[in-house]
Amino acid sequence: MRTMHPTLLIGPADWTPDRLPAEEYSRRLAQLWADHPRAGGAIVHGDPREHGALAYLTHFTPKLEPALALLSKSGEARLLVGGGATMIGAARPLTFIKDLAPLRDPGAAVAEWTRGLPVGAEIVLINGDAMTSSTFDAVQTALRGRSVIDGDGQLAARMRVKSAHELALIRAACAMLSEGVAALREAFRRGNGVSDCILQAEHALLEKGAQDVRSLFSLDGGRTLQPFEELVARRVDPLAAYLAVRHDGYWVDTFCSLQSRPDRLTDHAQAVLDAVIADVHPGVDPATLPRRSEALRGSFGPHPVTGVCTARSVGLSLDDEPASGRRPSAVGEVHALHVGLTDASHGTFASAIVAVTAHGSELLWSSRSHHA
Amino acid sequence: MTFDDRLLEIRRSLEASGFALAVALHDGAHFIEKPNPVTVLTGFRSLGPAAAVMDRAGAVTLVVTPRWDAERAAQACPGVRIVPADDVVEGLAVALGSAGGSAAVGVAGLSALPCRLARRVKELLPDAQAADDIVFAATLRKTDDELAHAREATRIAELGFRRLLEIARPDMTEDALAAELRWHSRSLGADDNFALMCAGPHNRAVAPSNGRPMQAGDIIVCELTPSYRGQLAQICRTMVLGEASPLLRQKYALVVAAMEAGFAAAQPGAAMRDVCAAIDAVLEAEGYGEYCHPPHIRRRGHGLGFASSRPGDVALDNDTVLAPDMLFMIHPNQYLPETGYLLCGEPAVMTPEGARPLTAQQAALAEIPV
Repeated sequence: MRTMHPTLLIGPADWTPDRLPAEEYSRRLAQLWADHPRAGGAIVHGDPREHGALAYLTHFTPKLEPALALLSKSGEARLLVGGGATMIGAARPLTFIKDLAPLRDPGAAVAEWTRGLPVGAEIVLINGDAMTSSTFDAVQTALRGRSVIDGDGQLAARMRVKSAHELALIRAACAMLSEGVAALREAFRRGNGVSDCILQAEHALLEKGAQDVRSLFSLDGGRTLQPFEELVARRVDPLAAYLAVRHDGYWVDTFCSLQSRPDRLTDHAQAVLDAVIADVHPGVDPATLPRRSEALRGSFGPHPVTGVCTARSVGLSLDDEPASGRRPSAVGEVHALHVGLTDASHGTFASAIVAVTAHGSELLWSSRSHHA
Repeated sequence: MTFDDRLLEIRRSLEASGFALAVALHDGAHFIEKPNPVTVLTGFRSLGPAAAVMDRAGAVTLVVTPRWDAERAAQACPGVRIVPADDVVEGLAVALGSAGGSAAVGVAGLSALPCRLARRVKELLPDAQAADDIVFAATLRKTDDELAHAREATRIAELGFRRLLEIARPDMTEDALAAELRWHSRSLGADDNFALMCAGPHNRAVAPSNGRPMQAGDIIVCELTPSYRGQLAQICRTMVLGEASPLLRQKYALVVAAMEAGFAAAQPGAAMRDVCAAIDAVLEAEGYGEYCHPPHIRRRGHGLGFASSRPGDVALDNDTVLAPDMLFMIHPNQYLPETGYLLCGEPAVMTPEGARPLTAQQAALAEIPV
């Protein structure tokens, strides 16, 4: 889900082994090498906007400038951090990697690193498309003569299936989200203005230790959504809003539709969502979930923000595209489901976060229990 | 200068350049150091990747992603043709229509794009040439609205600093302090805040906050940089959790003196490098010459975006001649071996009489009782 991207990532991002132990990362790296048996190393790019893969493999969140992980199959990992040598100290708590260096000349750094790899070994490039052209070209030049494999697809498939540690973090993030929505609902109930409602929700999340918080809201009864650009003192009823919270890397998000009177549109959206949730089970193709909802929307229109329903994999990125293509859901996947409907004058939403389990699904979050 | 005056200047540059069209591109990641040519042409800050096209007649088209954000764009940019899109390059093709294939096109912002987008733009416009200057040359001076917004952003920054002095305490983590400060500035109307801050007994630089709990005796250094309606302004401040030592007071006074020298040198007609040299001279005279260069320091200030960071860095290699209505930071921000990194800086607006700080209160070493 697109929100206004902040100029600096602020919030707790230190690596906490209690929550994500070193063994978790060893397992992830072992999977990476299993997916690419002829690889001698992997290059992983991350920047403040696109760093899901980097965080998955190193825990590192680049708060200020891009970073580049050089992962050797048989040697120590090295993390190159943007911003110069004086940034290394601040970066160190954010990762388990011991060898940190400034990211000055990516081409030279990659060339030096590849000299230590076995001759003929392949290199896996991950998130290379998010590099600027000059960085990408420098890296490609440094890798001349090496076979370079695009590792994005296989890693994304691995990242979709959550470990027990990841599920615990996602549950904690959902609990945080509940606090944020409760604060939003309470501010709305008190009759507060739009900005104040959003600010109260954001503050509640930050006080709970959220790594990041994003929001959108509506001034026109849920017909459109907008980011926070200036203070809006007036109250709106109904209030449609979007809240996303990040906890130790993992994003969960929800739409909220608050109103002081019962609303048939919102009830219908919730009913559509319930039907979609009932369809979640191992083997279901998440891309088909929105299609099935289409038949349930009745005379109401699809919301421009979500369509009738959007399904997105919950994980380390908020901006990932909704599910598409054909692939069955595996046990351990977690889907964020958002239903949006419109009538002639307004729009509404319902959201859920659902884990795929061996026996079907588990509801981790539902906007149903948070309606005003 | 108004927004329309600036657009007229850009249009004239476009006419003089030989290009038929100027295409501005931005990926929607609004980093303080990354100028946004789309915002320059439209005033709009996008959620996703965006493009703007200006023709020689001055007509502007804005390609906005995601598609559902088009209504906000239309409200923000009256008179601009809006092309809603889920893919910015496909939207750009629509915006260019038949003109795109044959016209001489200048492109701004291409080098800052993720390469997957840059590659596709180059495929769409294979003969396009870099033309960042056409868009950004007219942004050396801020518009009246930008200056008004910078003043408000500065007011918010100063209130944020006051808030910092109220809430910072031992055992609070840097992360918690930074998050609270950004939220506080939001509650005052800021749409963003580059709140770069850290703490320690001897800071090597100012860096992004992390989970370290602050301790009595720490020196906190912070750049509070709220954005108001898309215009950034910054204050650089240093404070101590506890009582400052006489040595720290003495060294901070030196940094303040360096900043004052920078302000004095910032006169219309002077070059930006003169401001940097004046600051360096104060520090060099005290024997800190070796700390006036990387890795300790690379500039003594910078322009303030988000739209444009012109007139650029306060650095020895910046020949920009200063003129009224330019806006930039003057911050010595110096590492000293005895004390560590010290932050001291004000947003400066150029007037016919010289640079004037936008702040109501100049940087002074602060103490937080513990």
